[in-house]
Amino acid sequence: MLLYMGKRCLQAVIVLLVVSTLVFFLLRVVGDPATLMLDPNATKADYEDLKRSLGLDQPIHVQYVNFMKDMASLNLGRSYRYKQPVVNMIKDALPFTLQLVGVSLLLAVPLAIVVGVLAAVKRNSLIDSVMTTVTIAGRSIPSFWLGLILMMLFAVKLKILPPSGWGSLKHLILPSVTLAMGLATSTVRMTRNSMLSVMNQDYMKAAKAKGVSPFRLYIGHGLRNSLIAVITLISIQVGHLLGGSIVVETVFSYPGIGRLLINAIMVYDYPVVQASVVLMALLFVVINLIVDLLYSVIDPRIRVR
Amino acid sequence: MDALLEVNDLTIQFRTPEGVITAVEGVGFRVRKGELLCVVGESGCGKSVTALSILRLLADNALYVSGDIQFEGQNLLELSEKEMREIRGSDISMIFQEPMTSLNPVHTIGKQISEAYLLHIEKDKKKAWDKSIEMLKMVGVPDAERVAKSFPHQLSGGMRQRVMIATAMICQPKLLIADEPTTALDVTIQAQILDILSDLQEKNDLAIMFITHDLAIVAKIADYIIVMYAGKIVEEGTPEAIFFEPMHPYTEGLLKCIPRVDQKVDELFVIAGNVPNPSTYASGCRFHDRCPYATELCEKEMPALELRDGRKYACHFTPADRKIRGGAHVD
Ligand SMILES: Nc1ncnc2c1ncn2[C@@H]1O[C@H](COP(=O)(O)OP(=O)(O)OP(=O)(O)O)[C@@H](O)[C@H]1O
Ligand code: SF4
Ligand SMILES: [Mg+2]
Repeated sequence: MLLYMGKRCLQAVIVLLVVSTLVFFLLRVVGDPATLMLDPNATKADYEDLKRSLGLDQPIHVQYVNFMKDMASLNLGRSYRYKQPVVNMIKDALPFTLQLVGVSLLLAVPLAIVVGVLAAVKRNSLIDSVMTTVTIAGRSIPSFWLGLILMMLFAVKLKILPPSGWGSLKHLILPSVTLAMGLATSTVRMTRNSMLSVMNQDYMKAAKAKGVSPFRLYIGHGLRNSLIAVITLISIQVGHLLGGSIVVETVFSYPGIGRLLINAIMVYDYPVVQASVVLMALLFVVINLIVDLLYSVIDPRIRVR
Repeated sequence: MDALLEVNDLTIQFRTPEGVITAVEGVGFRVRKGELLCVVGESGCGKSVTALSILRLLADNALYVSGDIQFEGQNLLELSEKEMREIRGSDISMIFQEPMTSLNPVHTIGKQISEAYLLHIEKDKKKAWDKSIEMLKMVGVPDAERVAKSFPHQLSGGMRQRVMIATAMICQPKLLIADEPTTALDVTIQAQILDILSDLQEKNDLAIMFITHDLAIVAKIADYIIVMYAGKIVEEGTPEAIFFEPMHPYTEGLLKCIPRVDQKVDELFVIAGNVPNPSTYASGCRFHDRCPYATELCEKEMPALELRDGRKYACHFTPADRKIRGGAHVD
């Protein structure tokens, strides 16, 4: 177990290294921040000065080594555009994203599991067909579009929720529902299917032969076994969730890491982009580690390894 | 003596996408207290369906078309689902063919053994746990305390089948239905499991309905045998009768399949052809396309299970008739 966790942590470090390297080089390929930061009548000399002050005049390998050093020592530098330390900007934005992702997960997963179990137990009933239709619809609608529709409906037409911004729980509802939808619908499907296949297992029949009630049979014997597949799905979907948070934050002008990242990309604000991307990767890795731990809690076959 | 379990004229169908199939037709038998009834037949002949139907554990697409299942004088088919739950695991329990997949992978052995006890007899978890350890010891599991805390994947197939027996026996049932409990195990383990079962039968006056496709096992343990073919009983009788004087050509064939010590491996006999699928059951004798004595009559008319000269079998002909006609049979 200890060895396993050690291996996972090493993997996490490698992922972070690869991501930071990628973001470093990709940024340097796509554009030059200095040209965007100068006013139109600046001279060639002004340009060279700016590049020097940003450290962008150095050979690329030197820049890379410096960047890695800075990252390792959590020295994230200053934003080119806002001139403030990137650490502060991240510190401001991170809680918002954590809230959004956290609420979405809480909203999506437990509810979806309950619905999925219901659909499996009452398969081919009205409940099941309604769920199937809703989940298919939910999955095929892209999140930016869903976000806009929800905004139109609840903010513009019904005026019961704020269309964008932040500050209260109400502001969180539309973005998190939008973000949760994709994960929720796939979790419902996965729970239903996995529950159906578990219900065909011999041990379910054996449990029934002992005289257990349907509730105990489905929840006590079936659900925990089905969750193994559901957790696998969730660990895969976490990446989509984080990616989705970028879209959702932008649609709802929600001040999280995603919006910070998009705004920074527009102006080639290297330090901000690098820091937010690496942070996203870190979030991804951490959530995956938690999911892995959950596995071993649920499935004893993994525990011994 | 009165029968503990009496099944009369049981017919079971399944709704399938291809239409309704009849898996079991007009099956009747009885099991007395302390008696071991063996049900034999090749794969797919309806043994498991018959067994599962008693505890009403058949899949949702099953239809009980006719018949009744009397247990201690009450028809199980008329009980409510709740009343049925009280019988499952307490008065009648069941063990299954696959010890590898019949235990829940995420629960400890002790929890699975004690579950029925907690449901039917004792609310106290500690006492139930202790009882499960006692049961493990009874079925000969060494180091029972440790095994109770372990998970199914940590045990061998033979151990798991012992666990299944412990689970089935914890409430001291009157009837144990064992659906091919030894098929998935190797020969030495098979013998051990059979010993445990016969032991239980004797000590607890337990009735056992033992399902198998292996006649060699049956010879050792059965008090009474029913032979099933394609959803119907084709012959029944005591082990002496079945083994020394089989009346039905199918039983004859099954007996020939038992390997003998003095036989070379390449001489092993198999009944030609396959068990028909329920969807293709024809109107005549269901064995006719594999039967060496089949006549035109056999193709047209289904023989009934009848008592003749003290023997019950379903064939248009007596062995003597068949001998006179000869038949295409080659030994
Ligand atoms: N739920 C079901 N739906 C449709 N057909 C079924 C169902 N359960 C069983 N059957 C069919 O009923 C027939 C009898 O099956 P059964 O499981 O009783 O055979 P068996 O004698 O136990 O064979 P085996 O030795 O392989 O266990 C088979 O043809 C099987 O396909
Ligand atoms: S009835 Fe005919 S086909 Fe059927 S077992 Fe007897 S002889 Fe064979
Ligand atoms: Mg079977």
